Amino acid sequence: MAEVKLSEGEKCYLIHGINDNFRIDGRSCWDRREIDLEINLLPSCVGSAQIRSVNCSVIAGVKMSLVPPDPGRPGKGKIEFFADISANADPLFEGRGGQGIVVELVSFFEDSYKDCSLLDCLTVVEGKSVWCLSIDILILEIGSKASLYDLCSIAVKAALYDTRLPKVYVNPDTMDIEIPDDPFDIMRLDISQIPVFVTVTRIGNSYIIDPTQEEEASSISSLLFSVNNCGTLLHSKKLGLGSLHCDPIKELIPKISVVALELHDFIEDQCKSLTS
Amino acid sequence: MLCLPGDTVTEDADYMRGHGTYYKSKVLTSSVAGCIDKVNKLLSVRPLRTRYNGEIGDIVVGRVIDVQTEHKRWRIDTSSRLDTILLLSSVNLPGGELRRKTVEDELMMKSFFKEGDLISAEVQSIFADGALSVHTRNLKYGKLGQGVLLRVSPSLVERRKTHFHNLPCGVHLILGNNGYIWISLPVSEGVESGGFAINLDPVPLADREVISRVRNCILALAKQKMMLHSTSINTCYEISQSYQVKDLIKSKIMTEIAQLTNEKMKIEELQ
Repeated sequence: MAEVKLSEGEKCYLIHGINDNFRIDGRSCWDRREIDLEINLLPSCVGSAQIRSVNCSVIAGVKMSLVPPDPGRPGKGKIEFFADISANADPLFEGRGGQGIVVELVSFFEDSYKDCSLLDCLTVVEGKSVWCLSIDILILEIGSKASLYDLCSIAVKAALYDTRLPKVYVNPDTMDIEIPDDPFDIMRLDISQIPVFVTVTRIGNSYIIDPTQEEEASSISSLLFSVNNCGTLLHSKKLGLGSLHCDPIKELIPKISVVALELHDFIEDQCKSLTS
Repeated sequence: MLCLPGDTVTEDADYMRGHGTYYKSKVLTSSVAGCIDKVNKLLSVRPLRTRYNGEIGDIVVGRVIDVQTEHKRWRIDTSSRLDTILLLSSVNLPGGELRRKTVEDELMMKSFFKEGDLISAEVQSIFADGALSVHTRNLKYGKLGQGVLLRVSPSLVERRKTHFHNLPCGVHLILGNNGYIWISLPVSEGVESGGFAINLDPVPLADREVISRVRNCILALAKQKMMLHSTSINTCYEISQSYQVKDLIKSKIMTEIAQLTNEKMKIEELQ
């Protein structure tokens, strides 16, 4: 995803096109490119998903372990995020090269999932042991940074849909935990509340979603929102350096909710059709 | 003929080993995926996925990545293995003025081409290490204005008589030998300025649609590894008319129009 530098003419052409609501690949401002989703592909994980969209590819995998809960939150499970950018995406990311993006990504995930209702159903024995889900995000290819966030959130949500946790039985007298031998005795997670991310990028005087690299190179900055299945904004963050005025953003919010709801529906439909 | 890595190119011991091949127990074997090239007794395999190998006289589209005033040259990215060089002595100055080799020119270098600018140029010479040197001493070449750049594999663009096309659908196309393709509005004959006068007025929506359609058609052809030339692009453009521009980035439709183009061109060849 090496930084693209655009000439004045290209930038001018691109920005005028967005003002006309016609982008260089023919999409309008609020159109997304095709997304290809696959689930249940890693046998070593309890849940996994891969997502591809043109030149971006992300794999998410979920692993679990039983741990004691945080002292302040005895009835809540834990979710840990790890991310890694493959040096195949760009030689720039070799070694610790991708650390900057990774830290930003992981912290946004942690903030968005902090109060998720999913954590409540991960309790095994209150105050004693809970499930800890470790979610690995492996980024194989990067198109634009803005659309990377959206795709990662879809991959994680799909991987959690695919997650099969073994049903745990607790002996009420001794409080011992028993894990059944039957591999089909599993429970699934309720993923409806899990947020997805929507990034809007400001180019010229308009906002667009799912920018290409060229579009990102001519943007002022991007705004990242995490939105739950009711269309409520949970968390937001600005990517990039430019400064934005708050009034147009307020007008954007209903549109962002609509886009997010479409994504929620997309994930559900895809996952259902993939499992059936 | 296409071959894969490890495929036998020939068992005949008379042939010489060229690029992309090696001997495996005295049998000439391919080391890359590509098509076999035969020049007299020399067999080589030209890879499909490759960086650009320049030849003198090629027309390329490139992006300026660096202005090196102290060396009196620009560094250009043309997707070749080494950065291409454009010397100050091989450009036309604005207005056709001849260069007087003064210090002023050197200091003005950034006002001719600056970082990020796109240029079209011709390969002038190749250095011993394989790096290319290009020139823009013709009003056809020079800085590119408003339009869209596409990157495809260099092996999809054949060397032809002409690489500048004005397509009947009303766009100007530069098929760079290096796999960089520039799509813009046509410039009327005789007013070429070597790119020093750039028009930054908004392009009308109707023209934009045509440019985007051509762009998406080229991407569809490139995805199916079909050769890019004015005929294939025109044919694909006509076939694509049954779809909206924004639908042409869907992989199903891309495959469909590329296959239809392929069939139509085969039929035309037979006639």
